[in-house]
Amino acid sequence: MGGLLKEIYKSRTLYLFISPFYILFLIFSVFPIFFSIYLSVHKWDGIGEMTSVGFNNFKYMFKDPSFWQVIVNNVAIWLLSNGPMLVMALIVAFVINMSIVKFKGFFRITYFLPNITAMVAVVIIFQSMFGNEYGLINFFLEKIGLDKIAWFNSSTGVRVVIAAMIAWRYLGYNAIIYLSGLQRIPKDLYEAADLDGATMLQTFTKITIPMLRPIILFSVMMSTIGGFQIFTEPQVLAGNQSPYPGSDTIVLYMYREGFIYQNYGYAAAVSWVLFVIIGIISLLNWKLFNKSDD
Amino acid sequence: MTAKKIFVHTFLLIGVILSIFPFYWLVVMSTNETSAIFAFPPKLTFGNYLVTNYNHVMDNINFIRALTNTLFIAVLSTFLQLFFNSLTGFTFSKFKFPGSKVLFYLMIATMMIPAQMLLVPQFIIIKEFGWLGSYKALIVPSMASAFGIFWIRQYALAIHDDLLEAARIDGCNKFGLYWRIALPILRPALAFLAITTFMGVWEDYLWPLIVLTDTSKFTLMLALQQLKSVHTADYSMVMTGTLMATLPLIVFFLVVSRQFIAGIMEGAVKS
Amino acid sequence: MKFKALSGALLVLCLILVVSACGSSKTNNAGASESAATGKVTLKLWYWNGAVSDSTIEAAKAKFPNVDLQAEKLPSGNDYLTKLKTTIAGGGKGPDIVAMDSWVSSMLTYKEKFVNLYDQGARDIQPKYLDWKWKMAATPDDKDLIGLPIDVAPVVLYYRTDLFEKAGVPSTPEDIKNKVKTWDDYLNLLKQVKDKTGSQSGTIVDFFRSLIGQNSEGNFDLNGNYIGDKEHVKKAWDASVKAYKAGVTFPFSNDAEKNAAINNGKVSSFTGASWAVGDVIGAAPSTKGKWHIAYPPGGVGNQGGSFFGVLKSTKAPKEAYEVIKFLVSPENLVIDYKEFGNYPSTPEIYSSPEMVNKNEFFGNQDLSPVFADAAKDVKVAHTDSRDDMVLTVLVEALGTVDTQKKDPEKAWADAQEKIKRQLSR
Repeated sequence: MGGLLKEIYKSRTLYLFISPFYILFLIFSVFPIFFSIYLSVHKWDGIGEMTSVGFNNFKYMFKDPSFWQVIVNNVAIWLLSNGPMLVMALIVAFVINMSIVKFKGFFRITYFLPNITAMVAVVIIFQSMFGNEYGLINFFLEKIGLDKIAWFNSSTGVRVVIAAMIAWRYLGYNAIIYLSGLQRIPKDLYEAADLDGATMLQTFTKITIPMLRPIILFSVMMSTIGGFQIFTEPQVLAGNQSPYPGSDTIVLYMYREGFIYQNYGYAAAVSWVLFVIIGIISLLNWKLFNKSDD
Repeated sequence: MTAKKIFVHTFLLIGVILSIFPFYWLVVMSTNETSAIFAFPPKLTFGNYLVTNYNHVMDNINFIRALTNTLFIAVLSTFLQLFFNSLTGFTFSKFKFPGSKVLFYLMIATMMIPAQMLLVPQFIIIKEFGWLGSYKALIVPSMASAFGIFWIRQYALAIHDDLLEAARIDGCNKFGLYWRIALPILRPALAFLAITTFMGVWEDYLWPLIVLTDTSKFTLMLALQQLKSVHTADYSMVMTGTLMATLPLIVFFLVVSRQFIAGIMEGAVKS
Repeated sequence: MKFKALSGALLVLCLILVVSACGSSKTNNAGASESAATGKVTLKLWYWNGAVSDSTIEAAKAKFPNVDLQAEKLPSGNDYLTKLKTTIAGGGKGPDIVAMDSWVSSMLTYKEKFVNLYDQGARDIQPKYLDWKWKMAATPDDKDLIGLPIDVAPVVLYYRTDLFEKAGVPSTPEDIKNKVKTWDDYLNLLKQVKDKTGSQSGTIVDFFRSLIGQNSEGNFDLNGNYIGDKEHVKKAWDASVKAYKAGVTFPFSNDAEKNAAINNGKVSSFTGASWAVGDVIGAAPSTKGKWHIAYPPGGVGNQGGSFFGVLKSTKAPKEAYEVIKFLVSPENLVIDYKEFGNYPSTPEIYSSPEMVNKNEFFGNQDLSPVFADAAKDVKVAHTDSRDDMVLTVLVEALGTVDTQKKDPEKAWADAQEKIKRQLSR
């Protein structure tokens, strides 16, 4: 015990270094977290009195088909968007980082542009692109003699549109993450590989991927956490009260229950179940991508 | 060699077109009348209503004031986050101390709580502090972020231990290791963190909406929403306002992203 | 050691920076107490762009020199409601006067948070306002009133004169009012229009919303019992399905699609509230001059229109009441109408010459008489805070009848089951 205290005392500078986050956490998050745990076993409309309901919120949730449906939707949208997007982002970053590529600055800013284009514009654009009757994509499909696709009439269609929107917005963002990770890899490693006559694919799999592992873990973790909190895209595309099949996500469901229907207690219960889901999947990610370091 | 070059650049250019198109359309929409937005097929060429739309925006909201407000908050928040996150992230990546693992995982776990759920209780705290309507409510709670710490920590894992050991022998203490050794190496990571933090503040909407009480203190995103009315929206005006609010972000990105290049050159020198 | 001291100093410095840089908020309080010193009453008013005209607010400032009226224009829609609710729930320093949209009825649950305007003498001005509109902000026992009416939004029929003429169906507002009285009449008309011109009407969901808007009963009775599975709702459901099956409804989709369809002449009529005037003008410039409006088939519903209320936390309920009374006076409502097209809730001015509103887009038709005619006949049903949920579920289910060709009876049964499960909590 004395040894531990001594260790702690020896590390006091380190505790000081990490203290800002935890001080803020104690002040601004601990009370809200306990508040929402308390809320999850109560019924509250946001203004009036709270009444205790025990575990009824959780019981209702597990019996509600809509709840299971939003989980399915959410996982589908997450996989559709984040899987291909992360792979593409890695390739794009790798390519931009190649020594033969000119105008690196230009490519960086253009690939990042979707992420800073404001949602008001993005929504109008995506609606105009994917309209059933008057969408630009269907317009071109017809021009080249193909059939129109009724994007908003099937859950798959809606999910594809939302996934496309997410992938489009975050491809450049993740490419920038990988790109800054690539900067850590010493140039001489690539030069040596070049001298040995390695192909592009070999360089990519033998040098880039292993050296980038911690950064990949970061991006996968963040996509998981972000993927289970997808909210903005379906909300702005379909509205708070989605009339389209298959576009409801967990956070949108929670938001609607809480902020629109005033079931704040129930919404809190949903958010804790969501917390557990994200926690489990993050743990799996951690085990999967974190072999080499830590 | 040239074939490879052409292939690579063509690949990148296709991506550029896909990425840039919606932004191009945003610019087109802000130079046209609202009706052009709903035409089919939509108008994809520039019109000459940009000045009219611009004047509408300036007449309806105090754009300059909102811009100054947002710049103030964004710059201050970014500097604070860069410092606190990099210090904490570096500490987690290179030192082991009692409880370091538990504290680290606790921090990761905080990101998994949906932010919407904490909105009401956090509002109550801010109210108890008497910070409603003050920028303190926007800046102080986000001085350090789990996202930023996690990011810096992952990046800093690659710093060679012998580099730190050498510095320690030279008489550097722990803060010196951070300040003199880690920070220069972390520059590309800090550039990315600066961009995301700045953008996050720029685009934050719900929290400022709830804690700011005075329209003269509104941020850009709030001011832009004031442009919209319940039923009929002058879309081209909203688009122009959006474009005007986005341009400073692009400038910021261009300035900060030079840090990436700086990182490349440094790497080259070392090898 | 030097560095440790430095890092500590940096931390402190950063905190000082933050606190001092943000100290500017204090100037605000100074402003408020200053006005108190001069004997002025400070009233903070929240509204959104388009709720009332800025010029009437200026007029109010001039009219009440003893009041320091601070009008704050906030983001509209759901955001406004979220901010208002958080402020009420958190009990933070809030506004004195608030604009409220048609969700005013859902605020009746929290009537203790609002000043009872009957106590301030609101009964004196009640006769000036449309009765149905007034009652939306009053408790069922009519003892409490939380808002004074600003505007109403009667739903009328928007139609393309040229396409109706081409189809040989009634095409003047008078003819339509006299010959197209019921939804069946309208459906027959739409079939002819579709055959001759290929154009359609609103979506299956638009039909449903209009139809239930004309009901005098809602989803819940006065005691809060669910009645949304009864005849009056099912009838609206069936009529919408019938219209869809007849092929006269535009495929259910997003707004961008519908706007494009209107602009391209694929939609030749729809029922819409008075504020839809601006929407059509904005969405369909190429159809300028070809539109008209008429008294709607089947009765008149209302979709929107706002109120001004006073929060209990105000220090000056009397002055606040005087200000809102002035803002919603008929003379000021005319100004709002001219600036935004918000139709007044005071019938006495409907026939005044100032209300004449000839619009080029609508072939120089004077729109006001049609709205006036409709506004008097509006039927409103009892509203409940759970209406949003019920309507969302029904609309979602009805949408699948079109988009996924789901069996209408099955969709109805599933939706009712879902609603009842929600209500069982």
